[in-house]
Amino acid sequence: MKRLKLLVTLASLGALCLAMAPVSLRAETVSLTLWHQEQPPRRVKRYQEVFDSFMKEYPNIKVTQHVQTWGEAYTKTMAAIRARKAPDLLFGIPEFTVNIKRSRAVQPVDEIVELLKGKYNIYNATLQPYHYEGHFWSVPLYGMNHLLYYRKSVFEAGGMDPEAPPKTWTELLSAIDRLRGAGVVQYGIGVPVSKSLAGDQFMYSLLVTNKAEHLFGERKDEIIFDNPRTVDTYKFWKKLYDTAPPGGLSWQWVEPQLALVNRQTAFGIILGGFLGHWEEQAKEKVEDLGAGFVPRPEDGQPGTIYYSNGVMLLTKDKKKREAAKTLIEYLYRPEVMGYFLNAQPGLFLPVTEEAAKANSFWEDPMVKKYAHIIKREIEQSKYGKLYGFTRDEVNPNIGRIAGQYLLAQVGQKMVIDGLSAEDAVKWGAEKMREAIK
Amino acid sequence: MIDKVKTKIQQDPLFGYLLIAPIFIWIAVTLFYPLLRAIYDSFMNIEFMGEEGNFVGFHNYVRLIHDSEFRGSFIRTLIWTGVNVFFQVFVAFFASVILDLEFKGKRFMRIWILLPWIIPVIVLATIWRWMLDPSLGIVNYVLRVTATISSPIPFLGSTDYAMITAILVNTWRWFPFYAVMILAALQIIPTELYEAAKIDGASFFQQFQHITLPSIMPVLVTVILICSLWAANVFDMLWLLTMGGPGTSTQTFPIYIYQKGFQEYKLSQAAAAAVFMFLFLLIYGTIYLRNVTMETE
Repeated sequence: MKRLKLLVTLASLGALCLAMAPVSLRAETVSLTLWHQEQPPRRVKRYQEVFDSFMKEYPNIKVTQHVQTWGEAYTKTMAAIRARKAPDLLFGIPEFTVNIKRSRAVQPVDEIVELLKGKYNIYNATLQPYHYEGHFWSVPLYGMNHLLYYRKSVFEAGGMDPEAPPKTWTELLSAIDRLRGAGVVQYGIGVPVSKSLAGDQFMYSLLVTNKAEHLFGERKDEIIFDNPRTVDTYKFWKKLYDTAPPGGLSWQWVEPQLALVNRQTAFGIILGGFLGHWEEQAKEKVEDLGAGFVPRPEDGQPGTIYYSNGVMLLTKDKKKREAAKTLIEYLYRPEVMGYFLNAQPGLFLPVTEEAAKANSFWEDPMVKKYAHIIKREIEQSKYGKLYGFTRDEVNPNIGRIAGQYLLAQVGQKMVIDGLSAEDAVKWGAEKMREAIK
Repeated sequence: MIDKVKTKIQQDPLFGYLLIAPIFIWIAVTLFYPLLRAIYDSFMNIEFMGEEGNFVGFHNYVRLIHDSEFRGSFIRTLIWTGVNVFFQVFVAFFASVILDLEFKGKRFMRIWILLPWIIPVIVLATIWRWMLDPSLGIVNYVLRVTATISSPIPFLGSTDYAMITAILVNTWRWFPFYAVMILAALQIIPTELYEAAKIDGASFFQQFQHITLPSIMPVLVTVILICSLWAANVFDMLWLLTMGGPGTSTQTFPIYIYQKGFQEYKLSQAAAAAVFMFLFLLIYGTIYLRNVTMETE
């Protein structure tokens, strides 16, 4: 009896010691901190669901997301790097990656990319902006691009075929004239002209369609922005601006969307996130929303601005890198990626062919509703480009130019200072040369 | 308790220094270090945050002088500050005089007037942006419906209107704070002075000129100084309303510094501009305090 009591006591003590054992004696939990700039609550919630599901499958990896605004992303990230409190993973767009890379905190992700390329068909347009200096610096997760949106009922009221959006610049201007002339809408198209990313994006989509997508020449210090096609694009842009509602100088993303929803304008060249606003604000039949490719000149090419949003790796810790690789691999599973992308249906587009076919992507109620538009977005994204990332080798000087929103500023020069397209583009090119000096 | 502490400090000065040490350390870390760091960075050629850069002497300051955008933002800062001070002090004074009167609902008004100051700037700026939108905003709607205007005014989207619009919005935000300060000064003026003046036959304006104004002058002097320094430093409201646009029409110094440092990635040039602004405001504050407060005394 005494022996039994002694055995039970020893066993209990042993169990107690094990329970209190330091973490290193048990399976180690690796913590990953992930920063991103997708603030809307819906996106944060969806990301958390995906991370929770990941952590269920991989209980030894803990993922914590932190949200920041795009406005503070650069300063906060650089400050964190300096303070040695950088996140392990950081979402970003290509020029953001170029800038953060200067801190030398961004780690190459070649092995992750090669692993994923071996398993999935990744769209080259999503990878290309992240490949330079012989390495990949970010793994693409989702893309974004423009479409030309319009209301079918407006077309009908103006005696136009609601299933035939304008395909060319001439057709667009003609459609605007017709609809305004018929009194169906007061204005043609919402044009954001503020010195902002929204202004730059609108402008660049037009530049791409007119084969004026290159800012840099073959040499990294060569600016070729001031060329005849760029000038022609700005001339066309000015014609669009003349049909736009007043106040465009302070407009960013939301105003052109609301102008279309409120039937002020006939058209909008807008990112796919518009579908969410359409749902919330329009409260009308989904069938009334039409979308076409961004119109191009007769001798132009299909195109749009395209943002490949990727995830950077900032940690050098081996265990964290392995854990990050596991997380990214998990996110790339087609059904996971499909679900992940619908953090903002219509805005976030697949980066692999497999994810583009995933049931989890197409079964989302909103994606189902607007499937015809989202298919068009995915189709258009194949022709997407991003300024500064159009050459085989990425030009690191883009970081110095992108932050100044020079594409929008050139437009402002025409509207505020009354410069001709030629002089305004010349001014813009000089500013770019100054920036990279 | 306070007397005990006072006695202790008199007996042992070191104890007094220990008591104020935490706040001095705080000021040193949050004020002096960033200031000294900015001065240091202004003599370097740092572009991106985190880089070390090389010493370039006064190169950045010379560049500033030749930068037309810098000169333009300096002029705009003077205009922005001057007009803000004028409007804010005028409206605050007017509001405080009204709130000093006896009327029903005075207590409610004294609290309600603080609303613009309490609401976070981001909320205020967003509300005003929408209210002032030429197509969707209520301000243009009311003006058109009342036939005051025939076509919408792009208040924040026009170089003609953006600055004055931003000034008025900023005035609306800040005048309650100054109104409360002036009101406090008005309330301690002895009523017997007004009664005696009335008996002597003084008119309202004479009472204002010879009793009210001299009594609150010390507070007004302080309000004008604080108002001008704070107005010169406004970044949040301007950034949220216009981001310095359209073009550069509302680009004041703080906006210029931010854009230079964090959009054009020329951190050292931004630091030089910040040091210039610091020195300018320091000289202004010193001259103001010496001359204006001497006159007040």
